[in-house]
Amino acid sequence: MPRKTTIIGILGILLYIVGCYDGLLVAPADRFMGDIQRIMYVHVPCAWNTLVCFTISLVAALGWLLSGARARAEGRAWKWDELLEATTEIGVVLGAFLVVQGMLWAKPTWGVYWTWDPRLTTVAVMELMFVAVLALRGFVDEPVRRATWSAVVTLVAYVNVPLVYFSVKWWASLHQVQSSPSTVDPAMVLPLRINAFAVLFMSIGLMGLRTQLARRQRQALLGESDSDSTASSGGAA
Amino acid sequence: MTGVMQGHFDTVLWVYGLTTAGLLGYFATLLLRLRASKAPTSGQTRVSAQNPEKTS
Amino acid sequence: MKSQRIFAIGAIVVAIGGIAWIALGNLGENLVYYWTPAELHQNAAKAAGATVRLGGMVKTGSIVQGTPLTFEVTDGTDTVKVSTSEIPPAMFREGIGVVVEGTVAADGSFQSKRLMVKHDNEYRAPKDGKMPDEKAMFGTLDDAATTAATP
Repeated sequence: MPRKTTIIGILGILLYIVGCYDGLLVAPADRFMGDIQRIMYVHVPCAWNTLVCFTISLVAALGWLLSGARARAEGRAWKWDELLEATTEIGVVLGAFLVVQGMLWAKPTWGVYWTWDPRLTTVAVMELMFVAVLALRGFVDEPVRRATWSAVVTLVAYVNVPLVYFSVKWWASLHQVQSSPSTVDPAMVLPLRINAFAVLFMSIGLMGLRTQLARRQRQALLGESDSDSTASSGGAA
Repeated sequence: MTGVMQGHFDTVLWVYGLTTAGLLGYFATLLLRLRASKAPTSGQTRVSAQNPEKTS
Repeated sequence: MKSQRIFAIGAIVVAIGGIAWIALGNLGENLVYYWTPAELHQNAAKAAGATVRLGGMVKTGSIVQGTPLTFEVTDGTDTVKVSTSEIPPAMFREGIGVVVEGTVAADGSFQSKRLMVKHDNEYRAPKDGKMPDEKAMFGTLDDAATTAATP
């Protein structure tokens, strides 16, 4: 029996094929930007899901920090740390795609690859701070300390997420404000929606694999390789 | 100077291609890392044993 | 464990406070990516000799082709004359939002070294046939400029 996340991930891949086909070949080109606007159908889903991933990281960080002594002793709290490691890494990967896509879109439309406008600046800071979370995890070997430290740094790094979202509303920027269905042609909304769910579902599939990897690596570190079940492990060391 | 952009479909294909390649590449490294993390004695049964409680 | 939870709650308070401070406080005012023509005139002393960014709409009928290319940037009330030797992006046209980077010359005109075109959040198929009216294009400016444009 494949896991639920694997099934969702496969569904995401299928949706992504449909969404990219629709975005590349079916949806109309923009009246001013022409074909280059089709980048939106991968750029915006990556943006949304980067923020979704980091939001799950925040929930996981809170889950770990607020977990009781018993949940930790019984090893039930580790799922939060595994989730944090998974969603932070996937968010950073999607964030890297986001920046590259944005730069390739910006050069022909805005005229520059990069400019320090509020949106681009806040995205860069957010990305770097979550990279710092991953770097911190690489430096700390003791699992409990690693979980606590990375959870606290995640709380601080998360401040950037609302800043990224509201940057275009709060400050004058070169980047346009968020689109809504009323500002986007219905024929363009469809591939945007399909790919938003496609990237979300693919991310969930990757989360399933990444949490599994995080669990195995922690268990190898704690020398619990004989038992893969979390119920009796974790606090043993 | 019409104010309307022409062409650039090749750039679009590059962006879609890079994004897809990036997703596939990350997926592949994840599978490799998972395989490397497997203990030599472990088999499929061990992996499936943890399925019921797996949530995400 | 208890001290850790207090630590966590402290971190949350600091984080929320940080957002509020940036949203409501002075940092937002300092984070200025560009000035509108009116703001550029207000800050003329600060702008002198420095590299600044000016944002606004390209005034209808103000584009004069040639080397340098000249046009006027407006926020609905004030207007600044801009000249640039750069080739503008393809989207450059009358009524579109632009951000120019450069210096203010002695005669008050703006010498742009970098011309960036601002897109709004409207995505439409070309068969609509309708060009966006200028008032709607002002929506790509910040709120202050928008209210100034529609008294």
